[in-house]
Amino acid sequence: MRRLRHLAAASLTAMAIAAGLPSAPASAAQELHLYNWTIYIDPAVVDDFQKESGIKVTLDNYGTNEEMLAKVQAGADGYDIVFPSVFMQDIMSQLNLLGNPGLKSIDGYNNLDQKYFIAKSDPQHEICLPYNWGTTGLIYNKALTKGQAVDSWKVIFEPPEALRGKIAVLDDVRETIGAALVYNGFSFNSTDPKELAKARDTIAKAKPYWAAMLTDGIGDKVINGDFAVAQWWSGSAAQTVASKPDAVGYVIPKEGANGFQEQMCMLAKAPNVASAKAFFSYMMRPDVAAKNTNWLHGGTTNKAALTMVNPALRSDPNLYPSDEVRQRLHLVQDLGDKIRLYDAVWTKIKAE
Amino acid sequence: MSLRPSPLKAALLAHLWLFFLFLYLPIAMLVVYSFNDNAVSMMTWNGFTFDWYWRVLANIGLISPSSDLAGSGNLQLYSDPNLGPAALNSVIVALGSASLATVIGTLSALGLARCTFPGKLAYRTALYLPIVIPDIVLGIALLVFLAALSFPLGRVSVILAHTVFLASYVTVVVGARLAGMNTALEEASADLGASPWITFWRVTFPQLVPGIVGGFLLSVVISFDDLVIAYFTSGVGATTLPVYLFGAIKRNVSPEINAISVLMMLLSMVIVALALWLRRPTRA
Amino acid sequence: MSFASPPPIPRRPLLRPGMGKLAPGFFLFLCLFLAPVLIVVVYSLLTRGTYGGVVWHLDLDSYARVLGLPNEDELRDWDFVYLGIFAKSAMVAAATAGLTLLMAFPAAWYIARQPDRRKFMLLTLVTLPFFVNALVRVYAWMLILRADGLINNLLMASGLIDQPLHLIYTPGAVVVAMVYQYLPFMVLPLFASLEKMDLRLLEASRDLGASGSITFRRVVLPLAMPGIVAGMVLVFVPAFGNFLAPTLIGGAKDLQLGPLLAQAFLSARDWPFGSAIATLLSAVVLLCLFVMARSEGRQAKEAV
Repeated sequence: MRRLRHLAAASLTAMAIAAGLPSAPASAAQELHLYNWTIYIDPAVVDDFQKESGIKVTLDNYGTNEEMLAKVQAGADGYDIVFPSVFMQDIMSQLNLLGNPGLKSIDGYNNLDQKYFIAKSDPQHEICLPYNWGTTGLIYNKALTKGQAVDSWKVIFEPPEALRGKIAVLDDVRETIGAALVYNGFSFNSTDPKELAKARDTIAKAKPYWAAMLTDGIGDKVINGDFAVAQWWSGSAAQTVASKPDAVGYVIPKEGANGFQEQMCMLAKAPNVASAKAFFSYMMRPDVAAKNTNWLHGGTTNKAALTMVNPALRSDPNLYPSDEVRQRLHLVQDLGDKIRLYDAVWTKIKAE
Repeated sequence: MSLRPSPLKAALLAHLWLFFLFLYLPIAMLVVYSFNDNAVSMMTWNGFTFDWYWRVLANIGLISPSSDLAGSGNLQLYSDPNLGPAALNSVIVALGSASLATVIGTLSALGLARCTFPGKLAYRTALYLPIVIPDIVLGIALLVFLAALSFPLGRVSVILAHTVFLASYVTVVVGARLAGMNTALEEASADLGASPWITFWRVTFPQLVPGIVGGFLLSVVISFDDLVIAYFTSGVGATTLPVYLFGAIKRNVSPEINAISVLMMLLSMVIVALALWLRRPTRA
Repeated sequence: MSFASPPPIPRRPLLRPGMGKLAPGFFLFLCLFLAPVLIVVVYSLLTRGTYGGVVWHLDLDSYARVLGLPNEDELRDWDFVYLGIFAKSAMVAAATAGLTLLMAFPAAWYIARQPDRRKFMLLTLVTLPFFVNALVRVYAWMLILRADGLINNLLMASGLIDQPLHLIYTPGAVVVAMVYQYLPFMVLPLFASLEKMDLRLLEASRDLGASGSITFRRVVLPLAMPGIVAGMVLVFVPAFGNFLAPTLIGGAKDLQLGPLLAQAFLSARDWPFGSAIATLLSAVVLLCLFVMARSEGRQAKEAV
């Protein structure tokens, strides 16, 4: 019996050591736990914030909205701030996962430009701060697409002979089916089974011409020639274009496209509310917002920051589209249970 | 015992060479190109550089970014604050879970070797399950389970998740050592009046040490290797190196990833070499 | 004293000395392996929650979907898409196991016929790459197979081709990367059974006039069978549920089981369906292991 207790004590001690070791030095200093998309914030901005505020920031990454939701629901609720897309903000609000950081009382709140996307659950931008917006269009290799018109979804859904086998499409249910819906003239958020069936057929017909379905790492594969044309997000595409302006380009297809926007939201269970508020206030400063936007090659909704955004970025009609083009940008909406229709179509597409 | 000299034997030898070429060429290529001074087309040789390694070391915080080494060449491209914490997490998780697994697994092996009970064979077989079940199934099962318990996801959850399958590995490794051990010494010790406790510490344990250390080192390497289970069970501030690397690779291949890969490879190799050296067949 | 209890009967305690050592391992196995796996099985029988999780209401629709049964409410017709994914993953895994066998057999044969010291050295060389991080090994193959990867660079430089070959993002690429990953799993059991083989049987077969190919088929293969079965199972099982290689090298165009499972949890938010896939996947794995255990058991019996 005595020995058994020895053993139990030994294993418990080992467990306590292993478990306690990492969390021990945490308590003293102020902390902030961010959970963001992979490579979606300027490291210098985080660094500056740490230096200025003395708050220690940890940053973990996710690849999809749903991954973040699953983790937060599953018990990764030690995060303070997450960066969901607008529709995911609506979902998280419904699930009571978001807290209110009191954005309205922060200096610079009036700088928010109301012409950008607004979450249904948050018409006044009280809960979440718009973080970055952009579009999902086409990035193309200039040499490989020479002589081809790259201005329509047609290049990926009914590709010309020369581009077949050199096309990449996003590995994302809503983006890919959405693009096919828009190409067929339907709503990006359609839940009509007939329209979805049409989109499925469009994709099924085009899929043999596609080299791959990916979400990441598309830029360097367009540069090196793995792909001639690829569906991709404007910010990532613009980073690639900036590194090789002669070799690649980015365009918003004329039929319209997905306009996305990520939000900065505080979790209801955020353990470091004061730090989170400090970070909101920091990110609302025009110079900081502009710096981050320049790094992301993205879009800011901060009117005061806009003048500090890199002119090359701001003047590119494919990155900062005109109001007329903006009319053709669709925001992904939460479809509730109807998402099962998309799942069914998606699996069918991927398995064939 | 050897085969008659024949064309067959020559063919077998040639095959063996090709076989090892296939095994080692990809690794060698990775090492060579991690020194390639070409940030854009990584697979086009453009001269020799240590830059990527300096950059990785600077990002981990082992050298100061402002030092002469780090300030040269390609270094200004991108500094990544996530790499250092991820490396640290991997070390903590590997040491933590390997220690736990070594204690638990060694005890299990001793228990299995020294007592009989109904269902022992079934239990011994069941202990293999955490090893053979596809990692993605185990990862998802643990995520679902921890979610059902509202267990907070963080480093602790990853350590516990790794301990589950590492303990099985240790049980197997230490069990193999126990099976090959001579029980005469233990019996002699008991006959001479030593208590079981003394017999264990003075006789059994010293003979077991190589097995235990081997099991521990193997556990460290396997924990360090795991992507999928950590991916599903990690939480706040607990991103491990493979999870970080997976995100980075999906995002874009880069010379820096080559350098990180080579460093990780080196670490695993050193640990494995140590383990193999401990288990080497000694001339009796 | 009349109430005195009867003298204690000595009986064998249920917990025998030494069994306490098993307690921590048993506890761990119970809490962090058996319970999670059972929860997955239970979840596979429940109704999906709109935003992930489950609703506690019995629902066999997840299995109906996998089997391809129609469902009016979901606008679903007969549709064997998921069975197709199982079949495709099984084919890719089988191709991996087959190719691994072809590569490993001659090597294992050669190694088994070496003196002990060289045996140990060669086996070490076979196992060593296995301990390199799996992600790193898959990554190395990405660099080899890309349009501007090692193979295309070499072929272009030598003038054999003038357009890069399309190598990455094909099922073949996934098979090659997995062969690379699991070669040691095949070599080690093959080696074990080839080493035990009595070479005099071969000579006897030759002396009795059997040709080389007949000797191979009638003598070598049956004797090596347990090693072959074990190797095939040890490669097939992890390849069947592999997540890394299809994700990074398969280009996600052809869905395989591992990525499908991840997709069900991390993108479709359909926990019961993902649980059903995980349950079936585990069932297939258990079946394979059962086959392997039977084959080894039979061999052991014959040896007696």
